[in-house]
Amino acid sequence: MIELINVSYSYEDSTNKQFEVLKDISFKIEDGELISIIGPSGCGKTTLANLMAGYLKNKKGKICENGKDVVAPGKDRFVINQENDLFDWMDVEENVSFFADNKKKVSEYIKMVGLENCKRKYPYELSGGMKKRVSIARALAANAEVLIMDEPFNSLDYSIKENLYDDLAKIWKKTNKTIILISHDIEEAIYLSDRIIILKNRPASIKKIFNVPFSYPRTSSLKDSVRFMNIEKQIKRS
Amino acid sequence: MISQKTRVILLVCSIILIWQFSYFIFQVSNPLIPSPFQIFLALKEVILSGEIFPHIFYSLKRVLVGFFIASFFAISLGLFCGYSKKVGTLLEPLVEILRPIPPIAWIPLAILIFGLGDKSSYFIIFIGAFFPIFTNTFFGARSIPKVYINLARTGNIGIYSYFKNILLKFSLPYIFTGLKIGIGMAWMSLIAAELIGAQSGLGYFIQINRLLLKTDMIIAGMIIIGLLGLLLNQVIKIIEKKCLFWRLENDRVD
Repeated sequence: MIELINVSYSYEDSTNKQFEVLKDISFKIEDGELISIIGPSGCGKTTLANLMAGYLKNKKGKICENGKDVVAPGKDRFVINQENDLFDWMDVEENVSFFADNKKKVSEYIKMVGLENCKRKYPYELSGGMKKRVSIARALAANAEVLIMDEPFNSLDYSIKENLYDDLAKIWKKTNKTIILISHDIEEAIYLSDRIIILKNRPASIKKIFNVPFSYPRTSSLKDSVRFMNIEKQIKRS
Repeated sequence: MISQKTRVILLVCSIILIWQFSYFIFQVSNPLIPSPFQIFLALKEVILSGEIFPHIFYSLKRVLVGFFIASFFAISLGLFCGYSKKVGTLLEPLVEILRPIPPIAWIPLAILIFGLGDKSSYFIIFIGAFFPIFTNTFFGARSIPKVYINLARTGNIGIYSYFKNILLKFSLPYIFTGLKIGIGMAWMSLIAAELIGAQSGLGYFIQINRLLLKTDMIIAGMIIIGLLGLLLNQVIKIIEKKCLFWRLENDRVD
């Protein structure tokens, strides 16, 4: 379980002026939950992700994981980034096994993301969608409890995204990981998540936390349903 | 279509031919200006008699030893400066002051400290090769993307593994750019060092032939220097290709 209690964060710019990015953010994420954090571009979503990952210091408030303070990065909270975050000089298997404690399970995770035929391929031989799959497999192999996905689908084609959504949902249900998805795509957030946290801009604070009422597994036809569109409208209006 | 290689060969042949013809046409009588044919004979002589090989051996030995020492220190220090911002900002101005001093300007000092011989050659080669390799490595290591640094922190992989598996590998394309410039600089510095402070080697060979007024031998020596320099560069390029197979052809740094 991850819990944020009154988390605020400010940057200091070059003139030593404090620039507040996050203000009084509190929420709880249960184990095995898939939660999305959405908000306009540049509102501080990535800062929030970096705080939860433990990359940034000097925050105000508290971030706890299973009751313990998050003070530094750790393998239990693995980030999957928007840009290519694979090591270009390692093939798929080497990338996945690099952070793995149990090297025997590497093949299993590569198979889980559907790349069992690409073990020996290098990142330059993979498409954007395949690279993201490798990143996911690497996080799973590192035995992360929480996957923090920072706009991972941003630069991908529509059809590739669709496939990845369904596969991510399957992997999530199979492994029972906690997933925090940072996104600005409302449709994507509704389709994938249990709950959606909507942030408002400058400094980012929570506008609303939204429960998504659909059960899993979800299929893409869900997006055409009236209920789905109503939820989308509500979020947009909120 | 004629390939690029044949074009180069044709160009070289025509330059030699024009030189040889003008030699006949203008009836050059100055014995200090050799014809291409005389140079060819000189080359044949030094190769067949085996006279040139010890010089080639000594020059190559010196350049390789000096270059390896320079590479080792330049790459280690470059990576370390790229890794630690504090060390980087501390050492950068020092490097910037030392860098513009040409390697040959170090020769007088090197001879006084190390004497005439291999040691001063190694030192001059070290100076020549160090800076391009260091600067490129430093630049590469400094430009490592934040995601890699963050991933390493998440994985808690330890500083040794970080240097070996991430920072070094990421900087490798930049390092090779430095090595290619560095080997050229090393070769040039070596010949300069041998002209002044050595008793063997290709630089010494052309210098001693100056005293004997044998310009054909001098030019033959120069040709060998040029060809060996080219060879050294090609060897690095082949190693680079082997090491950097994971990069796309179109995003090479150079």
